[in-house]
Amino acid sequence: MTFREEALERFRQTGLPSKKSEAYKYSPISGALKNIDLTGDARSNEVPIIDGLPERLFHTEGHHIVFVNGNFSRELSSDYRQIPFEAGNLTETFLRQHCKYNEDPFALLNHSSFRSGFLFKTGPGQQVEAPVIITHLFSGNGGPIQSHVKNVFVVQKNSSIQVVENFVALDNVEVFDTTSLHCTVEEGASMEHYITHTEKNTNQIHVGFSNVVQKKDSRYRNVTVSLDGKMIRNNLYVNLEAEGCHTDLYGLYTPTGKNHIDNYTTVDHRIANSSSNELYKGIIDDQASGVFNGRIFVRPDAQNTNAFQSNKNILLTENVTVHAKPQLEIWADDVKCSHGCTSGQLDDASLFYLCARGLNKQQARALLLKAFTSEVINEINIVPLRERLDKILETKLLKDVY
Amino acid sequence: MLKINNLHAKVEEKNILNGIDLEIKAGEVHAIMGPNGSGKSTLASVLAGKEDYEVTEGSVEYDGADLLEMNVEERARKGIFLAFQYPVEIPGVSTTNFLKTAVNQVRESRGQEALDAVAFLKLMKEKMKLVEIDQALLSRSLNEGFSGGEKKRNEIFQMAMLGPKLAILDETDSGLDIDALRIVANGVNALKTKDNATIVVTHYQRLLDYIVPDFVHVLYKGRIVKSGTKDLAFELEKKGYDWIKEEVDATV
Repeated sequence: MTFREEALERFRQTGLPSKKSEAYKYSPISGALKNIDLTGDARSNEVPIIDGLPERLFHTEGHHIVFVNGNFSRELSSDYRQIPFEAGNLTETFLRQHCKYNEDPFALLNHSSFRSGFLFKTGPGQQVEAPVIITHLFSGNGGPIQSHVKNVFVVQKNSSIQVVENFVALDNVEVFDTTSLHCTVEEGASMEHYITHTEKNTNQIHVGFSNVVQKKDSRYRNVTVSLDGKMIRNNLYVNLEAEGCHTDLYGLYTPTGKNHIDNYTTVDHRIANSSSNELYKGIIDDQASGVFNGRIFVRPDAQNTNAFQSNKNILLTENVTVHAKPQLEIWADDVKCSHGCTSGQLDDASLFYLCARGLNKQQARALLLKAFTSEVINEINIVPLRERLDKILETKLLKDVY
Repeated sequence: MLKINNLHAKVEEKNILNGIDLEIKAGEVHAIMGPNGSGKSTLASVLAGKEDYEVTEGSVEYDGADLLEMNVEERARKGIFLAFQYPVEIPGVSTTNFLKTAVNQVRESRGQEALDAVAFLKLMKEKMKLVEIDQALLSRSLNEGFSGGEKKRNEIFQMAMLGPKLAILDETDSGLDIDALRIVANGVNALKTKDNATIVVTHYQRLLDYIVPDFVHVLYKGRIVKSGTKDLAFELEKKGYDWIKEEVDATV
C-alpha cells in the first residue's frame, strides 16, 4: 500500500471524531461538516478580482507559494527558480520519512487526500534571508470547497528559515480545509513559523497541523494568530528528540460572533536538557468560544527539562465560553515545569485610571486589549507581518468591522 | 471652583463619607489630613468619579456644573486630575502611548487644536524636566517595575502634561524618600497658578513643608471636624490625631 492508501485505510477505520472524542470534545467539527461531501471533487482555482486583494496576499515580501482552493497556483506564486534552496515534489520516500501518522482522524484525512504541496529543504548552514510565505486562498461561489494541502520543510544542519502560513478565505466562502506542515529542524538549525488567520469568515472550517521534530541544539518558534473564522482548530505537535533544543510557542485568538477557535498544542520532551516556553492568549467577544488545550510531556529520559506554559483569556461578554485545559504529564524527576491559566474581564482599576486621564471607555478598552495582544504579536520577528497584524487588530479592537 | 455640600458616600453598604462641606476657590491649596480610614482617599476617588462609590446624599458643584452628573472622562476633560495613591501597573501600555490621546481629548474639550507628534514631543520634553523624569521610563510599560518615586513622579508628569484646573493629590507622599518628595513637590508648586487649585490628601505633615497649604482640614469618620491654617498641620504633627478623635467622640 502507498502512504496515501494506508492513511485512507486508517481513516476509514477511525472515521471522523465522534462527540466522545477527548481531543475534539469542545470542537464539534464532525457535526459542522455534515453538509460537506468529503469525497467531492477539486473546485476551480480561479481567483476573483477584488480591490485590495494583492495587499491581502502579498503584504510581506518573500518567496510566495500560493494555493487556491487547495491547488498550487503557479500564476500567483513567485518564480520557483528564484527560491534559493531545494523545492520539489512530495515523493513516497519523503512522505514516509517526514510525515508520521498520528491518531488524529483529520491528520489521516490530510495524509490520504492532500491535493498539492511540496518538499522544501534548506542547504546545510544556509541562512535563508527572505521568508517563505505560503498563502492558502479560498474563494468561489456555490457549494462548499474542500481543500487538503501538505507541505514539508527540512531545515538542514545549522541553517535557518522563516515560514509564514496565511489563510485567506474570501467572500465568506464556505470552505473546509485540512492543511499540514511537517517540519524537521535538524542539528543546530533554527525555524520560525508564523500562522495567521485574518479574515472574518463565518463559513470557514479549518483544521491545521504543524508537526515539528527538533534535533540537537535546534530552535523552533511558532506564533499562531487566529483572529477569526467559523471554526478553527490549530494542532501543534512539537517533539524535542534531542538535547539542547529550545521551543517558543505563542498564540493569539480573538473570535467574535458565534465563531470558535481551538488551539491544541503538544510539547513532547523526550530527551534531557531542553526547554520550552508557551504563551497563548485569547480575547473572546459576543457569543464566541475559545479553547486552549496545552499538553506537555516530559518523558523519563528528559531530565533537566524546563517547560513553561501560560494561558490568559479576556472574556468581553457574559455569553462567551472558554475551555482552558493545561495537561502536564511528567515522568522524569529532575525538571522545572509550570503552568498557569487565567480568565477574566478587563481590569476595572486600569480602565478607571485611563478614563481619569481623559480617555473614553472605548479608547481605554481598546488600548488595554491592544496591550494584551502585544505580548504575543511582538514575538513576530518579521516586521511587515507584525505591523499588518497590529493594524488589523487595532481596527478590530476599536470596533469589530474590518 | 468647587463646592462640596453635605456629601455622603458609601461603598458596599458601608458609609464612608458622612456629610462633607468644603469650598475651594481658584488659586488655593487645601490639605486634607486625618487618621487612617477617615475617608480621605474616598473623597479623592468620589471627586474623580470612581464608580465603586455611591453618593447617597449631598452635592458637588464644579465650575457651576453638577460634578456628580459627569462620568470619569468628562471630569478629566474638564480639568480634574487625580494623582493616584497607588498608580496601577498596565503591562503593554506606556505613558507616551496613552498620554497623547489623553492630552488631545482634554485639548479638544477646551476647544484647542490637537497636538501633532512633534508638538506633543516638545511639550513632553519641557514637562519631563519639571519632575526630572527620564524619557526611557515613559516608553516602558506603565508603572511596571517602577520604584515608588518613579511612580509618583510619573503621576505629576502626567499632571503637568494635562494642565488641570483642580489637582487632587492622593497620598502622593507615601512611599517617597526625601529627595523624591522634594522633586514631586517642586513639580506641583511649579504648576500652581492663580487659576487652578490643589487638594493635597496626606496623613503626615511632612509633604506640607514643601507644598504649603492655605487651608488644612481634618477628616475623621467621614466628616471635616476641624479646619485651620498650616499651623493646624504642625499641631497635628506634634500631638497626633488622638486629641481630635477624643474631642469629636466626646461631643458625640
